[in-house]
Amino acid sequence: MKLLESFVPCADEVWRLHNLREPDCLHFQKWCDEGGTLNGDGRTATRQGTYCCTPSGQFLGSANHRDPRRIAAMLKEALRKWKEIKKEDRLLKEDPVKTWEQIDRSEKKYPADGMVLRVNSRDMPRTGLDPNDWRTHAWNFDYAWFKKDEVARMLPKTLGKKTEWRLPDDLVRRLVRIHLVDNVRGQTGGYRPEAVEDAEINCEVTRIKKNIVTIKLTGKVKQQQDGRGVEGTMLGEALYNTKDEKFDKFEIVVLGTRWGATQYNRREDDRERSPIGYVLHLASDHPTEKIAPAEFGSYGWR
Amino acid sequence: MKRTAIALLLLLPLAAISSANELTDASYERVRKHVLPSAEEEAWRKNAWRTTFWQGVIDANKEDKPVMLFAMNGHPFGCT
Repeated sequence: MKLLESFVPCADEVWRLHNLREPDCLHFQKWCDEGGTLNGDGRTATRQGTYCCTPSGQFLGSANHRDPRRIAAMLKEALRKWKEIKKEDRLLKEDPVKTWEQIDRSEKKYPADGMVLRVNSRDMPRTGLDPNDWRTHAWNFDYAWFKKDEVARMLPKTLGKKTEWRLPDDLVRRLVRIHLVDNVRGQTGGYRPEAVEDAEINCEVTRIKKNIVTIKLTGKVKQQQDGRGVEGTMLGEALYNTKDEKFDKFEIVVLGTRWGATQYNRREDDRERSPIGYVLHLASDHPTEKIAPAEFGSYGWR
Repeated sequence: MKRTAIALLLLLPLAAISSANELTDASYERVRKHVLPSAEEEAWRKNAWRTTFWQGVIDANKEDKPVMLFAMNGHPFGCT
């Protein structure tokens, strides 16, 4: 932690940095391989890892390792190199804030006036797993975005005691096929629209107190394609604030079963049906919770 | 009566297994707690992370510090 205070720490998605022609990507590509490619050779080799550089783009070090001691050693060496470089050489002469305006990122479409759900996933307990294996405790998360008009469409025209309705089919189907996926051990693609066999979220007003409407959420999902699938039931609660016209709470727990594997989700030896759980809840305003959905391209937002 | 009681007792373990895999008001909190990350698993948020490489460059240029970039396939603060 102390060592990290000497740096400005940042995190980013590496495929984009390594492959696109945006200004920030070109900046990264200038120096990323100076310490050697971190994950083998060849055009498809990923550049995943930890890197150090000067703002001006001088390479200071790189490593891709889970051992914190190796990363700390790389950081110390990078700091030593940094101190040897003159200030005018290590900083950018042009204001990098201006460059930010030229960079096209999904995060710029963050729905500040809409709703963002954090979707957490983890395997449910089962017998036969090794407690010392990281995969037993693996968990993942992603963000599901909804625009302001989509949130408005989630509500009926009038909210009275015992009012019942279903969330719009298109929004529920997008949510389940892109976000209720088996990403527990690693990233995976969503499902094609035709893979969704069953997807619904039902709402029922259970209480109205002043400007807060309590809504019970129940639902189900079943989707499968190419030998993989997820099915389960949903239960949750939402609190809609009629004064602020926003949800103060929106939480859904999904308990179900997953099966099959995809190229990168590390299920190659775990394809049988097994229990999986999800918790969807409102994301905070913390900067680290404003990351775009992994499959944002599938949203079709312009 | 006695036979019925024995039969019900034999069915209890099955019922327990079944309820463990069902989402009900009773099991909701247990499932929720199991899935959500612990405080230890979320400890990484305590660092002053910038969420893009370029924001790191902007701040490093202003603060005269080197950039440390953690880059993964899939954003490390989202699904990776």
